Amino acid sequence: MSNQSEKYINVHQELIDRCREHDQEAQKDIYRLYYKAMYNTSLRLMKDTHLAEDIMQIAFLKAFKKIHTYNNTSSFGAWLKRIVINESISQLRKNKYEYYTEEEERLEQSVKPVTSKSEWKRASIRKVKESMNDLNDRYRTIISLVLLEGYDLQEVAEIMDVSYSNARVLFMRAKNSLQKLVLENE
Amino acid sequence: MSNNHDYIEEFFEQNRKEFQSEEPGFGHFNRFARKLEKLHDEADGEAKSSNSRFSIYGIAAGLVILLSSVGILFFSTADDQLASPAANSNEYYQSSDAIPISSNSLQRMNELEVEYLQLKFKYSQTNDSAILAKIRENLSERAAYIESMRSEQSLNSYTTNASHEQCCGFGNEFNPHNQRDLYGQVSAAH
Repeated sequence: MSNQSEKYINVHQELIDRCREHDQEAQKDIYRLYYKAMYNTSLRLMKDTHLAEDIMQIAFLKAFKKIHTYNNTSSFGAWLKRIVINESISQLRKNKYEYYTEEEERLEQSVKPVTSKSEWKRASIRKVKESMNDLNDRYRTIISLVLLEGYDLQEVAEIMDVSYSNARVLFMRAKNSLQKLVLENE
Repeated sequence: MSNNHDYIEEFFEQNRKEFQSEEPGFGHFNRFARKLEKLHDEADGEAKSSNSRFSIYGIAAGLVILLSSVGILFFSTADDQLASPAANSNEYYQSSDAIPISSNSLQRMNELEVEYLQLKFKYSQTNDSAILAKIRENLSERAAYIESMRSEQSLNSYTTNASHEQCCGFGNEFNPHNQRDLYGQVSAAH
């Protein structure tokens, strides 16, 4: 949205308004509408189905508690997803977020990127999913946020609390790492 | 960025739906409904404890008002009783014992006190600056009342003393009940 003062009109605005009034049925309806997208986002970051469900539900409850802060400058789904992502990243940090080690960096730099399109044409969804789960937390997070959630690198830098240039380097390395793993898993 | 990166992005672009296909475990909706119920119960509990806090404040305010009214009544009665024996024989006492603070002023002060407590409670709930402004208004009104009551009292005591001076004068030393000490207090003559 170009103009910050423009208000986003949600398809389910009436439900959102009822949630503002703490209407429990409306809150359940909102959950039914958004749970799948939110669960998949959380699952990609957390890798664990139980943890992902927990994080997703905590994020919904937080959103209902703080719904008065949603000011329609973005879609409700985008606002909710941001809460899910923040909650997931915060949980990853609590569980000793895997940081990039110097050894990893040396290995990553030696990775030869796949240049053939056919390699990616042949790659199955299952293999890519498995390979994503083998990535370290930061790589998996950035791949997921950029390639699946559609955030740009500036937004990702803000979410992951790194500089823009760090986010760019991290994204490049994450893609190289993913390619390597996809090849290995073939 | 080299072309191979575009293949990855293309791959994800084409297969995005496949990455959105997972479902949470069976019974997730019921689990969420229970958590939601708990959240609402907690919110209700907080609201109730706030209400009970407010009623405690109300009771405390009521007690303060009651005690201050009883206190005022007690002291005015005691004054009356102390003044009455002398009042029969001394004009000074007859004219100076009553301090006319109107009951309307006291009533209004009580109302302002209650209003203040209500505003304070509301402000603690909302942090609304409009309520803070009302609290300020309330306090300044109360201060004005206190000030006016004070000046009313001193003016009254001044006028009663002055009228007594006019009526009896300092020179009335022959009346044995009308002797004053150095501080202007009347003392019985020996």
